[in-house]
Parts: sequence; structure tokens; C-alpha cells
Amino acid sequence: MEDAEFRQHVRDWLENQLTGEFASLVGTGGPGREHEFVTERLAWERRLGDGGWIGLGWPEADGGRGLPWRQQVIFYEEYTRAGAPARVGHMGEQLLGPTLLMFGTQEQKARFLPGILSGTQMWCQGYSEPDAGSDLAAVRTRAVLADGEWHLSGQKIWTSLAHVADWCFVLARTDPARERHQGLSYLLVPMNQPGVEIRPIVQLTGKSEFNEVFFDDARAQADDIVGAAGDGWRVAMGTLGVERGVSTFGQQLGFRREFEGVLAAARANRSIDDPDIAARITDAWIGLQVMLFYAEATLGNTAGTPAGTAPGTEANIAKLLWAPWHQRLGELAADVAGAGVTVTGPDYALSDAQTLFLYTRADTIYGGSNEIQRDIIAERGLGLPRG
Amino acid sequence: MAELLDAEVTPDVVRAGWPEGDPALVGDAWRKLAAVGVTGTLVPEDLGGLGLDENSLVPMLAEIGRSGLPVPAAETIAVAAPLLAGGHLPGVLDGDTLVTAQLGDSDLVPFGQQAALVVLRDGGALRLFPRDALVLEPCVTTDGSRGTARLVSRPEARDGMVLTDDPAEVDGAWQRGVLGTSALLIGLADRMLTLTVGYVGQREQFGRPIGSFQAIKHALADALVGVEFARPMLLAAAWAQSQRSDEATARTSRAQTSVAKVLASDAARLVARTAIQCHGAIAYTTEYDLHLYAKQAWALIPAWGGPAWHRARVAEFLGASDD
Amino acid sequence: MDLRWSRAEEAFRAEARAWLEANVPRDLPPVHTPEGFAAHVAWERLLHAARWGVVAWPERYGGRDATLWEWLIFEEEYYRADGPPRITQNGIFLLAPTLFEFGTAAQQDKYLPRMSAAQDLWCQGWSEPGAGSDLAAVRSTAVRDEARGGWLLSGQKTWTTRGGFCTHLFGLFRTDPAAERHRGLTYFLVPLDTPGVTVRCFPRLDGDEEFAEVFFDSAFVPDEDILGGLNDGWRVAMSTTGSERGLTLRSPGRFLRSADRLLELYRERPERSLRDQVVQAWIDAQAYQMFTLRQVTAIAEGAKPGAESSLNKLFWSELDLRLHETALALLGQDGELDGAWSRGFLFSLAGPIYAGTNEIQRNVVAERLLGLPRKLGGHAFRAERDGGRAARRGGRTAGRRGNAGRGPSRLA
Repeated sequence: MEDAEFRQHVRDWLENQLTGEFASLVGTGGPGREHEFVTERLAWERRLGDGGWIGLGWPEADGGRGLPWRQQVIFYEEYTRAGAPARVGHMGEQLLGPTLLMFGTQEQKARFLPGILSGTQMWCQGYSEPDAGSDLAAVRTRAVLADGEWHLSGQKIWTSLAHVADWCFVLARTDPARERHQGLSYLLVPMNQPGVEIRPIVQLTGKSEFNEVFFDDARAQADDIVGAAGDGWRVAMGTLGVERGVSTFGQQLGFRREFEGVLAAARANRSIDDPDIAARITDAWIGLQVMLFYAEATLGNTAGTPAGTAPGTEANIAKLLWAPWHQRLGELAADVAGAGVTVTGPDYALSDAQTLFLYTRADTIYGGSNEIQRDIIAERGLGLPRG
Repeated sequence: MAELLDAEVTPDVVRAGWPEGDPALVGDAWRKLAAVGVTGTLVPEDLGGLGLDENSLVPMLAEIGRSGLPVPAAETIAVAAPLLAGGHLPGVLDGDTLVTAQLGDSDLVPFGQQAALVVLRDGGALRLFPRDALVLEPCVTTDGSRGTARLVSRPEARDGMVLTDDPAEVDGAWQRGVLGTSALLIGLADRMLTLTVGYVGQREQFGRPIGSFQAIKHALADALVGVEFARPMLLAAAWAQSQRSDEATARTSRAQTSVAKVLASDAARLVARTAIQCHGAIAYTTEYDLHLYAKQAWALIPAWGGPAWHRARVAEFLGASDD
Repeated sequence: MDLRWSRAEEAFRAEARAWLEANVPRDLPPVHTPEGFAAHVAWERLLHAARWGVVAWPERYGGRDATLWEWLIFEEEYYRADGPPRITQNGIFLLAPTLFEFGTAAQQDKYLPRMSAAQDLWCQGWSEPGAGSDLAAVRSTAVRDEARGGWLLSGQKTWTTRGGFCTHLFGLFRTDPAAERHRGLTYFLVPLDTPGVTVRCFPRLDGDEEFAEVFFDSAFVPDEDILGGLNDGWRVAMSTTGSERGLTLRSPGRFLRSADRLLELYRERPERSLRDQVVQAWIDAQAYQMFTLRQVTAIAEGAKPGAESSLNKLFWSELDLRLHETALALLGQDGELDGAWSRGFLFSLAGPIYAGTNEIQRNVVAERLLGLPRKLGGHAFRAERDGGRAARRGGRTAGRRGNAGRGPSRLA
């Protein structure tokens, strides 16, 4: 299908679907708002799955549509333009799915990909631990193979959407004799079992989007390991490279909507007449153009990356661009809102400006902090010596 | 005073100011401070106060800011108490009667949910209103301990008592409010910085305390610079306020007070952002204490005139304004 | 807190202002040209003759025994009058405080009067090609010459400001080849016409041509020209560094004047979107002044600024850069023309680098003022922490142990 025709096709489908029960989902969910309409958005995942809109870029042989990345971008553009709800299934589609495509066995792909493609199986990411944040290699959750099963014990933290996930992909230490990056394995663990306990953590925004997940003799099938035992670091890093590819582009389209919201608010309350606010709005717009062009210019590099090869530092640069940009946008939104930005709705219900301000405090921390990104860019991108 | 605050105002007491908490804990701490004379800092000795001047405001309120005690400290100590006499004063001095103020254009009254008395500007005068003379609608705020209420409509002047209609006194009260708020901000900045320095000294990643990484060190060094260079300016503004005697000196002290508010606000903002960044994810939770102080700071930055407003005042003072 | 100047101080200010108004020369040729250099020397001699060159020094050395406050006042008036750059500054602001603290009476009597009279002009021999931020990596050596009662200096210094015009150099040389890093260094005072010393100039970004490398080839220096003790050079040098960063090299008057000029520029070319930056520059100059006044109060009461001087350095160097960036923005196209602002901008780029880079300063602030842990490898850190306090860093260990226990000293 030609691009223009494809775009129209997507637009029509979304217009038809975001009606009735799904009409109220327009503009819902997303960073700082993961608590909104979860049940309805899970139903929306299934609707997307029915319509064949999940895994657009996956090979057809694996159940995807094999679309070129240009059309994947078109889908994201139209999705964002329609204000379609933020995805609950993004960890399965953007992280676990591509990982299985890169490293999974045929059996694993047959078992797990259909659930992602149909929007019926939700995933969460079990990486960070209390003592393993920026230093992910310090992971301590243990998994021991016994009686044909993996037995997991340990704790993960900052686990987004754990409470709605069916499965968790977990980085665990399977070889206690090895240290750090060695001896880790990538396991697939069902969430709904006695050995898995979820405890919500409340954020600055007053809501709970992420959790602690405790494994107390939790079980995973012996075969539910992606890659070989001890190969977990390489598999997990493969995922992280993908994390920052096409999906980030979609995120930036969301940024454009947020920027337009701030601009509209500044016009509405005339704060734009203040030259300093106007200057900051201009700078924000310029930053947005820079990010979008950078994403387009480098999208070919990351999206077309063959399995197992190390990505360049485009993704790190992109994160270093958008995280501070987004944080400044949050501050600008708060300043545009004026003194009243300190007032919330009932029960700490936050306005767009407040959410944007509070949530963006975390942008420079999650997904690899600014400091880690700078180190990676300096060491891997510029070849500077390690500290 | 620092020891008293450390002992009496624990993070649990600060949390007690949030909706789910027990407000009696905050009240108890406030009364203990009142018992050593804090509320009467600017009140003459023969009226039961400490009889000090503006020079004492900054260290006093910086300490209270550092403790994070959720009370209208600037409004009570700096603005209202020195203007009160007779009837209400003893209760305010004891810490039993909470008094707050809103002298700006906003209709948001900090601690308007708890305060028994509210000082409002009415034309060229400052009036004191009991809360039942006002229609106050409780707000939920990002800083859940601030107890903000919205003034739904301007009250009848006659329902309030004139505290002063002398323009110089009104101006002085405004300046003290700005300065007091600046001092609270510096105190909050201190608290957040101390918390962060302690954390990065013991939190280990990559086999060493993260405070040993230069990126962390440099960020915190910049944060310290911001605070340390704001501090003397607050003292200078206090001194200038204590020397006000005519329009010329009042104009100077107004400008210096604006400078103080700009510097304190910028410093607190930088420290808040740096503190969150250096803590990592844990700072983004409500379990960890940092957000209690950051949210107070974010609420105080736009209060009593935000940085942009005060820079514009300085521009006018310097003759650089065409507005 | 009392921000009033006393009647005596006001009188001092009035006297300084009057004299400067009557005597400050206008439109001197640039200092790095021969005519310019001669003119600046003449100016120094005029200042000296009128006892305005080193106001806070004792009279017998050319000063007028002024207080630190009066010195601050003089500096403010000097900048206000747009006084020319002080070519004696490395001597009077950097070496002199160290001479006062560590010098023998004989050394003080020998060098201070000639310094204030601009008969000797001093430059600083610190950096070497292999030792910039890492000053302790100094490799220039001093070998004992027992027969003549002195030392033979060999090696190379670089980034020597005004080296091309100076007569003397103060520098660090390694006198104990067996000792490493900051141990075994000695602080020498060296006439640049000593046989074996060669000065080679090279131009700077801002057009100054008197930046120099200085080569030493067994140049003889007698024992009496060691400042402080043998092998105690690091400690002596740190005293100089404290002055350099902080107060003496950059008094608030300089930035108050620059901020005023920036305001004047804004009034001539009001660009509304730049107004906040202009106002902020003025605010920051005020903040620097207030900070300095508080610091001077402490010094007057006997305190030593110590690591706090790193706060000064960070603040004034970044302020100077921002201020000049704003000026260039106001000038627009005209900013490309050579002039006071564009030259000032170029020089301001050096601010975050000289007198100890701002990266080093931030390390000092973080480690010495906030008490953050030194950078060590993981295993080395644990060994230290868990009790193996081998003296890897020599004399520094004691201070660090103290810090680790006490926590951040600034935030009491």
C-alpha cells in the first residue's frame, strides 16, 4: 500500500473505533497518567490487536505485517493526532516482542508473540532492583533450576504496570559463581502465581504507576529463558537498544501535542504577551523541531539494526535531547499556569500543567539517567577513556 | 533554635500536615516554637515579644524553612504579628491562634484552611479578618501541607479590623513577607541539599558511593554555589529594611528585597532539581522525604511575587524598564 | 549586620575617588605592546608614589596600612574610574600574600618594596605541559648545588601570563626526586635574567602576545630565594592558590562596574528579550559583593577562607562569562568589532580555566565543603573504608578522615 493511502486507512480506522465505549479514552493514559481508565484501555489493546495494529514492523512470518518503518511512523503520527489512548501493551510490543524476534526460539515465539499481537497478554519489565539502578549489572534476584522449573527469589522495583501484567521478563542471576554482567539470565515469569507479590509505590504525582515486585519461590518453566543461561546481559541490552527506536519517535509526537497544549494555554491566559514566556515557548518549539528532525534522520540507523549488533549512540543522544527538553517544558507549563498551578483538583487530581511539571522531574532519571547517557556518549560515541 | 527544630519537627511532623495526617502534631510543634518566643520575633517586648528587628528574620525563618514545618511562618512572624496589638496578639504569640495573609493579587490564601485570622489588602490598608467573615473554599494543592483556601469573594471591609492604613507600614509589611518567604526558601534549599549530600555519600552503585562520581559532585557544587550566594543578599535586604526611614531608603530596600527573592527562588529551584536528579528514582516517590520539601519550595517560589515579577521590579529600579 | 561605612571609610573613599579621577590615564595603548607596557609601568609607579598601589600593605613596603575594608573600597573606586589593568597583579595579589605569610623578614624587605614600585614584575610559574589541573604532576627539577649554596633549576613552565614582560618568576620545582606528587616540591623566587632561563612568547585568543613558556636549563637560585621550607612548596603554593581563586584577584568592584556598563549598554540598545539577563547580571554582581563583604568580615575576625575561595572562583568566572555573552547579544552585529566588550568576552572564556579550572573547583567544593567521598576505585574505596588507611595520599589523609566523620561543614 502506498504511504498516502495507508495514512488514510489508519485515520479512518481510528476515527471509526474511537467512538462509543472508546470515545472517552481520547487523550487518556500516558506518563503520569497510567492510572487512568486501565480496564478500558486493556479493552482497547484487544481492539487494536483485532484490527491488526500491533507489531506492524514485525516479519509476517512471525505474525506481524512487515511494514517499512516509514509506515510505522505514519501510524504513530495518526495515532497521536487522533489522541488515541496511551498503550498499556507497549512493553510487550516494544520490548519483549522484538527481543524474542532477535533471540527467541521458534517455540517461544509461537507461545508468546500471538498474545502480544492480539493485545491480550500484558508484560512488565523486571530489571531494576533497590541496589541495581544505574548499575544494572548489580542485579541480585536469584533463579535456580530445580525439578524442571526456575525458582526465583528476590525483588524488583520501579516496575511499571506490574499490577496489570500477565507476564514479566526478568533479569536474574542464575550463576552465583559469576559476577556482574556474567551469570545473568533472561527469564519469562508469569505474574499470577503465589510466589509473586506486588506492592504499589506512590509517586510525586500522588498516584501509583510503578511497583515493587517480590519473588518468593516464584516459578518459571525451564524453557522460558530467552537466550542461553548466563547470556542474559546481552539479551537485555539488545532490548534496551530497541527501546529507544521507533517507539521513541511516537513519544516525541506526543511531545508535540503537549507543547501545543502549553502554547494554547499561554495564548488563552495572555501569558504569551510576556516576552520571557514568549522566548521560552520559542525555544521549546525549536527544541521540538531539533528532536523530530534528529529522530527522522537517525531512525533508519536504529530501526534497521540487525539483531545482536550494538546500536550506535543515537538513542542515547536522543534521550539526552528529550529528557531535559521535556523537563523544561514542564517548568514552562507551570509558569504559564501561574500561581494557580499549585492548586489541584479534588483528591489531588492534577491538571495537565501540574502533571507535566511533576512527572517530568523523573525524565532525566528513568530509562537511563542523564549522567549514564553522557557517559555512554562520551565513552562509546566519542571513544573517551573510561573513568 | 536549630536543635529545638531538629527535635520537634521530624519528617513525620511535616507529613502530619498532609491531608491524611494528624494536624495536632503540627500545632504542638508550633506551640513549642512559640513558647521560646519565635512568633513574637518582631513584636515589641512590652507587648510580649522578643523586640528584635528585620535583621533577625532571616536566620529565624531560614531555620523554620529548613525544618519544613507546614505553618504560615512568614505571614505570622514577619507580616501579621508586628501589626497586631491587644486582643488577638496573645493567642498568636502562644501559637494557639494561626494567622495568615494574602497581600497580593491572588485569591489563594496559604493555610487558609486552618488559620483563624487572615490579613488582606483593602485599598491602601491592611485589614484583619476572622475566618468566619470570609468565604473560603479549600483547595487541594501540589504541596499537600499548605492548606490553601481560595477566597471566593472579597469580604466587606467593615467585617475586618484595620491593622494599618499608613502606606509606609503597608509597604514594610509587604517587604517583610517577601523577605520572610525568601528565608524559608533558603532553609528548604539547605534541607534538600543536606539530605542529598547524605544520600550520595552512602548510596553505592558500581562498587562505590555515587557521591564519588564527578557528575554528582559538580551538580551539588553548583547547587551549593546558588545557595551560598543568595544567603548574604537576604541578610543585606534585611538590613536595608531595618534602615528604612524615607521613600528613598524604602525604594532601595524594596529593590534589595526583590533581589533576595529572585536569588532565593532560583537557588531553591536548582537545589530541588539537583536533589531529585542525584537521588534517582527514589526521589520520585512519596515514601522518601525529599518531595515534602521540594513541594513546599515549588509553592513558595511563585508566592509573594515570583522571580519574573521581581526581576521586573529590579529592572524598574535600575531604569531599564520600558513598561 | 551593619552595612554602613564608617565616616573614616567614607573619607577614604572620597579621597581615593578624587585622586583616581584626577590621575587615571585614558586610552593607554594595549598592555601587550611595548609602548603600552611602558605606559602601564609608568602608571604603576604613579600609583606607588601616591601610595595607592598597595593600600593594605604596611607603609614601609609602599602601602598605607589600610584595612581590608578600605582595600575593597579602593578596588571599587578603581574599577569605577575604569583604571587600567594592573600589571603588578601577579606579584601583589598572588605572591605578596604568600610572602607575608611564609616569607622571612629578609625576603619581605628585599622583594616587597621593589614589587610595589613595579621595579620587579612577577609572573607565576605553575603549569607545565604535563601539569595543568594536576599541578602535583610538576616535573621541573631543582638539583642541589652544595658548592654555591643553592639549586639548579631545569624544566619548563607554560601559560605564564605576561611572561614576556616580567622580570621575576615564582614557581614550584621538584627538589626531592624520590618523593611523588605534591611531596618534595619547593617554592622558588627566580629572576628571569638568571643565566639558563629562556622566555618564549606566544599569542593568546584575545590578542595578548606576552603569554609565555619559560625554559630552565640548570639556572642557579640561592637558598635564600626559597619561600617557605624545603620540600614544603605545596603547602606554600596552596596559600597562593587560595588568594588567586578568591578575593584578592577578583574583587567585587570589577563586576559591579561591568554590570553597570552592561546596564548602560542596555539603555543604549534595549532588546526586551535580553532584559532579564541584564538584570540578572546586576543581581549576581550584588550577590558577589554581599558574599565578599561577609567573607571579609570573617577574615577580619581571623578566619581563613580556605576551600570557600573555590565558591568565589566558580561564581565570578561564570558571572563574567554570562555577563559578556549578554553584552555580545546586545551588540548584535557590532559584536564582531574589536572593542572593550569583545575583548572582554574573549578573556572571560579563560575565567573558568585559569586559577584552577571550574571542574577542579567543583571537586573542591564537593569534597572539602560538602564532604563527598573522594574518587577511588571500588576495591580501593572499600579497603580504605574498612580500615586499611595506608597513606596512599600522604598528608591529605588526615584531613579527609576528619571530613568523612563530620559531614558537610557548610550546612551546620
